[in-house]
Amino acid sequence: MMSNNKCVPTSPFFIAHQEGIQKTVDALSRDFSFVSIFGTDCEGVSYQAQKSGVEVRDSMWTDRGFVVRVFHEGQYFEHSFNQLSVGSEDRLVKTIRDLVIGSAPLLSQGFSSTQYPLVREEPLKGEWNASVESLPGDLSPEGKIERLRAIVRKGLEQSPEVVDVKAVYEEVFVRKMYCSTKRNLMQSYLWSQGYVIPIVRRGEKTQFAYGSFSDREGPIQLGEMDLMAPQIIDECLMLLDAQKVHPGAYDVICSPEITGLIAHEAFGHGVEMDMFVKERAKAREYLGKPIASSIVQMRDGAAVHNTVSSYWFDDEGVLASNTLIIENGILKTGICDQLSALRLGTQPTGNGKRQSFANKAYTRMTNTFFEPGLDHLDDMIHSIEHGFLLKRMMSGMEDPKNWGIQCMVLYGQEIRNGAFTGVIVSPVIMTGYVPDLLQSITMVSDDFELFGSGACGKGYKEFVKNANGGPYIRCKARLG
Amino acid sequence: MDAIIAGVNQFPQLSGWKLTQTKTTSQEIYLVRQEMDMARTQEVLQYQLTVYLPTETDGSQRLGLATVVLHPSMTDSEISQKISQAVFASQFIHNPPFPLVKPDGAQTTNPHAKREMDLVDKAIALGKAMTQAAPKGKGWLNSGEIFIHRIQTRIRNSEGIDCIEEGDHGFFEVIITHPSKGEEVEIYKSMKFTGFPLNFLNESLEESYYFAQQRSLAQPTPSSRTQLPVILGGEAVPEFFHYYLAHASAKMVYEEISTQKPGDSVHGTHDILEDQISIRLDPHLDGGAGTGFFDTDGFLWYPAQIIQNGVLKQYWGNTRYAHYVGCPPTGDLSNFVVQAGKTGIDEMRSDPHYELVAFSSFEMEAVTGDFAGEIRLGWYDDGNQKIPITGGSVSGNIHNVQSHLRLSKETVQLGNYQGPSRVRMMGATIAGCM
Repeated sequence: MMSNNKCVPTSPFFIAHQEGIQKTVDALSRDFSFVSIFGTDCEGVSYQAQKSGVEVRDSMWTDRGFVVRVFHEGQYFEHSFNQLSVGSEDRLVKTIRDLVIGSAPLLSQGFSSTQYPLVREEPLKGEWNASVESLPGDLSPEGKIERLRAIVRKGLEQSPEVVDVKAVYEEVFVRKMYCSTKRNLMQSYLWSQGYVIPIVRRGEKTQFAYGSFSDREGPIQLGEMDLMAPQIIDECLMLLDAQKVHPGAYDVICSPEITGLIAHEAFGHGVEMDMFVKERAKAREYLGKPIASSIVQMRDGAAVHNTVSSYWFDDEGVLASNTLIIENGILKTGICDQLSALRLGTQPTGNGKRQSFANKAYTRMTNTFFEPGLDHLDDMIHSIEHGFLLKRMMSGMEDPKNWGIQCMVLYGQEIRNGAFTGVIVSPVIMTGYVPDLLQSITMVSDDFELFGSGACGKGYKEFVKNANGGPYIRCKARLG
Repeated sequence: MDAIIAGVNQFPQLSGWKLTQTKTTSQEIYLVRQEMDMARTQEVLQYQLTVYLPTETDGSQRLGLATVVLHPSMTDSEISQKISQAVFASQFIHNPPFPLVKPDGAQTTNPHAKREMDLVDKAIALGKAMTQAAPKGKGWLNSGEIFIHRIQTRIRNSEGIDCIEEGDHGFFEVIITHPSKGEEVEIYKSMKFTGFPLNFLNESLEESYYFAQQRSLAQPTPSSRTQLPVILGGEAVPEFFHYYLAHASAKMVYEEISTQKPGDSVHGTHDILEDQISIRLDPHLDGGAGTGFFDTDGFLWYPAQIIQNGVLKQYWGNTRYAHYVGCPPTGDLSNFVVQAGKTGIDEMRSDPHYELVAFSSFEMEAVTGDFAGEIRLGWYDDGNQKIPITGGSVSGNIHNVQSHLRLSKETVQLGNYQGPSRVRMMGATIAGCM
């Protein structure tokens, strides 16, 4: 199974339709001063095993279609479609003309419209195919199902208190293309993710835990899942004895996963610059000002690290970048999609992402993280008089306007006088005010880890893949 | 669909198949303040195929199944390859067998199709409601998004099911901003719906303007020295009741996450000193986000009482999981209706309490019953005065609060929920800001 530098293949669907798409762009360009077509051909499979059975289905990220964007009378219109055959381009051009030119007068009777400048693109053509060690085809579906079944079987044998173990593995080929009058881009890469979710019961108390995995590889990842599963089940059994935290403000150490949750939910959403356009982001007032402790550096970018959210170009044909958001505690800039950049008079940062070809592009995070520091985890633990080491993120929610923090954490390990007491608290809700929390960071470890198994929503919709993480950080937070 | 079915029929070893065709035509409008920032449309066609293959393990009959997505742009050879992949994968799956849905003569109708308005007209009408709503206080519309999807679903299976339904489904999101002494504050509201929800949108706008005005006056949530009752409102209420619904599902019972049996108290061994829970499924709720006529298997939905006065009457679930646990199927979840209580909201507020109506995201963990949410807006009433509050969190476990639940007699409809607009409880923890 192990052989280096296999190439993720280009989409045959794109190759078959590339010429037709270019013709469509050229034909529409006679009516509209800007035209782009963005296409997806993503294909994946999800395998799930648990005590009660096995499920195999196409991944929820499976997606094939196009979205055309045109500039008409100062506005951008988009139309998503997925019925296309070679030679049907004339019909598509007519449909788009009719939709845009036909609906524009109707819409203008309803509302006045924002007037945008025209997109200016530098010419660029090219293709990027990621290299991987393992492709999905390196292990048969039977092999994948058997590996997951083995995780479940061994988990159920680990303790009589284990009720069930769910083991999930998912692999997705991501293939995207972008075509405009100036650009013609294609990219192909692969990611995979997995979960091990035990359920345990003692008396009336039922508890769950989880471990998550993600990589820019294929089934090679199943090995790590197998290796880590016993530890995840032990964690779950440990939570049966968990107590409730006494509400209050504590010194806490956030594990890299929780650090990533803070980077993402507490701060990352607040520097998505489509929120600047709407005046929904308090971060805009802090540009050039101290926002965090001076030992804090934070970045976002699809061009840095190799995760589920690393790519060559975004869903608007803008090349990925590596944005330094916080430098020595000072807020330097945000991240931006193409249309928000036009509104704000700035440059896009390659952060325009769509849930699928059928969804709008918004400013979205990619790889969002705090950079590692100089401290050692042991010293950080020794420095705590009374507090908690927080582990395993459950969820979070942004509040870019008013900078409230909601981070749901699976558990905390109590620390007193610089040592663990053995007391576990679960679950934990961490709340606070973003600048207070970021200013309270006093130690940053030299560790670094990124987590990419989740999906991020904009509010309660528009889910996209991204990765978050960083080092261990010591800060002050309110726990409940 | 016929070409796909012909492809499936090339595999005589299959015991069955299910094919779903979904045609979606959409109009979307994005508003920033009073202006339209963007308009989008879509025309998307998609197929989902599940194949069922008899398998055997340890001498007993089992069932393999796999589901694939098929795109209209696929070539015949691609479709054939996808079907082959599904059949190949399903031979390694040895799940307990279950029957597919069979026709009962009623599934071929299309009663839900009401094309009384074009999509663009609907979207404009909702957008105008957003931009023209009379503000309360000094608030304004920050931004709004409107999605109207006309979805035609056709489900066919190897047992002869062939049902078609068309309806308008949608989603709106609205953000209201209000100035305050320190900084501007905002209230976020969103809702899924079917049909044309002008009344829901107008109610949401009125409430959001009021909440934004109250949040502008809010003080940091105080902690209380004594444990006070907590009154939950807004989206937290349906989320709270999801615990009871989840533990009554055939799937959770089959997976042994829920241990409940029909006839059991859904409150476990806890003494219920106040209101008991009653929940029914109503797939025909006007405007409900889950409203429709059949589930994703083509099973004809019908209203069903799941919990009555705190006692589990029957599990709910699709044909597969209902068969596994040996109960009649109700179909997948549509809308759920919680019976209102006898207490008026004003009466709930008659002694010192916290009332919490907007959260960053109130979450109920369905396995453990733990719930929590960061408070964006609420009120603290110490018996002398009532002040708007923000910040801090509420948390608890349903097992510790359900002995003293009181459900309001006033009701609300939110997404796929209809029921009490407030739930009062004892035993929840407030982590205040001071």
